[in-house]
Amino acid sequence: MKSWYLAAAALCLVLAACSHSTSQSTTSASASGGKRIGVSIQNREAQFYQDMEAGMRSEAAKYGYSLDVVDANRDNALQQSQVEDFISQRVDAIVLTPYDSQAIGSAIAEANRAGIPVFTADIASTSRLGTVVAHVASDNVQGGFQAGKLMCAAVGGSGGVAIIDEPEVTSVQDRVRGFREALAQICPHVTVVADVDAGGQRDRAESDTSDLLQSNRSLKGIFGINDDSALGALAAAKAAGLVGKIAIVGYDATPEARTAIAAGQMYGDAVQYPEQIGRKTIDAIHEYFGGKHPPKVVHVNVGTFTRANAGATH
Amino acid sequence: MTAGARQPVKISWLRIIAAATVFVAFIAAIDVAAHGAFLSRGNIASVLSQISYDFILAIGETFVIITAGIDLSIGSLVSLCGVVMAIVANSLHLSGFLLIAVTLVSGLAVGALAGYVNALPVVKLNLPPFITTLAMMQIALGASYMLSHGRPVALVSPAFGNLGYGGFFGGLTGLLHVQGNLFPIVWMLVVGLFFSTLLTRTRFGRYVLAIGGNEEASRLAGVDVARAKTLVYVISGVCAAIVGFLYMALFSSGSPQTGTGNEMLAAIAAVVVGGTSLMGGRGTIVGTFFGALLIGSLNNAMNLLHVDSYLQMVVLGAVILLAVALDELRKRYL
Repeated sequence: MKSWYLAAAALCLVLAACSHSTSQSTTSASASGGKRIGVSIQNREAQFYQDMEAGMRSEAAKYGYSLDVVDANRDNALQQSQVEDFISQRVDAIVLTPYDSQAIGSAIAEANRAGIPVFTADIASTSRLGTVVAHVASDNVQGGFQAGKLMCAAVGGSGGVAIIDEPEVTSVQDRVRGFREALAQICPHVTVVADVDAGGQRDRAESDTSDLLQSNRSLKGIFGINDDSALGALAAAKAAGLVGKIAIVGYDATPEARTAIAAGQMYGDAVQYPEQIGRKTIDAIHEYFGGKHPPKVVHVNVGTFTRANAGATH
Repeated sequence: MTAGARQPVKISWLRIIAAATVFVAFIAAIDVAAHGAFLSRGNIASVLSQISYDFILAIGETFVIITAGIDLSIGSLVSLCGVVMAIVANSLHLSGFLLIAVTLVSGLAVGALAGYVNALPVVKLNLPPFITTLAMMQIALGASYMLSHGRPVALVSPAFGNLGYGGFFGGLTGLLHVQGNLFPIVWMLVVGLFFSTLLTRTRFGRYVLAIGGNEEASRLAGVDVARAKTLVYVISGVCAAIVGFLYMALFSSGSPQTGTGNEMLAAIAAVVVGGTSLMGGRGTIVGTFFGALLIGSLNNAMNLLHVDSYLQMVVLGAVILLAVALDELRKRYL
């Protein structure tokens, strides 16, 4: 029995070592002579971050910078070690999309000590440790406000709405704040009757929303803090026979959400421009390399996407 | 693994009746607290459809755990099979029932193959299934991300999104006067009945229980242990593929992230709360159903009662611990 556990432990170590070495292997091919920028993204698989990465890459190509992009895979420890790897490789700048806004502080401080400038994209550091040159992100409060405006337009004068939330994430907190502000200003008789944490995941959003629809039969609208939340809510609304009767507003306008909006199943989305975030991040780094001081916070505006846009854009 | 762990079938009926009694009392209390929302027809349909995914996963896991094994790869297999099926469905020039059938078969084949690969080192090299299925968990998830490039694969055909609405299911929802998606529920009943019969009424089922009770004795008694054990992992893979199919139909999309949350742990919890011994040799599909039902109703009840979601996790963990501890005490003193 003992060897059994030893074998398990050994395997865990091997797997950990493998995942560590793959993150390094992507960094070797940068002998272009230009500046090297290390990028660690909290969850590289997400469409949003892929678009952001594409924006960074095209802007970096313009300036002749090379990018090493690694995936922190929603893991604080992994992201920390990736920053350490960047430091030992002596990259010229580091871009972070922190998985955990608080925990990232120690990694930023380490880079500071090594004299490497750190930029954050999309998600800011909230830690008191470390200094970030510039933070480039959507104005999520403004984006949440846009979503709230859509909700007011959809629901009308009064009624109860729910938020499918993920309150651990700073940018989501901002969205929800903006959303609530919009309701309070534009349609004060529309109230938030439930705010549930579904972790931003589609299957949990689906089951939580079906529970919500059981306990709040008069629900008029649902705001999903991302499109996985909104599409999960849509699946639940479908099962309850409420598609079209309940206004679902999402955030990000992913292709699937756009299809649902075009079909009239969802009311609309707040839409960020991740590609722009990527570009402006590299622009800020370019300014810094040129000896100028980019602004501490660079905001990228958030727009809206409704059925009216669906015909033209999709 | 001790030979004494096997018990006559009568006892397991007693445990089922005891579990059902506790369950009914629990339900009544919740319903009163939720002002009748808990036992409404719509909510019952909603809970049943929510537990179908975890229960079907747990069916395969029950077989594996009865043989004193464990399958950690099921969550990743849900993800992989969902992605594969979405890709297959989008590349086929078929429509309607034929499209759905071919897609389903492709997913089942992937699940079965993965289960076979899980079993191979277990039966040939006598490696612990904890290790082989841990490896498969990583391999399947990596493959799922590679095939999908990390993005959800949206289904082109509307055929899947309409499964469970209209036709037979439309008639059924009308007949039962419920709003809801009965599609996963019907799958749960069919798959549950099939595998429960397989476990309790066939020679293969008796072999599975015997192997878990005492593998060496079964071998000496002439049971083809390698074959039965292989089949058990194949069943687990197939169950994961079915769940992958159901999620894919639900969301009209195969996402690599589906199944990678708490699904595997929830399935194991349902098996254990349902009275299957982790030491092997003892367990029923009916018990697993009640395990999944208990966990699913608890989740639903806490949502209806607006319990804070972090507290929900604590309560759920405590209930699992309590259920297993009570079961152990009952075995000793009753």
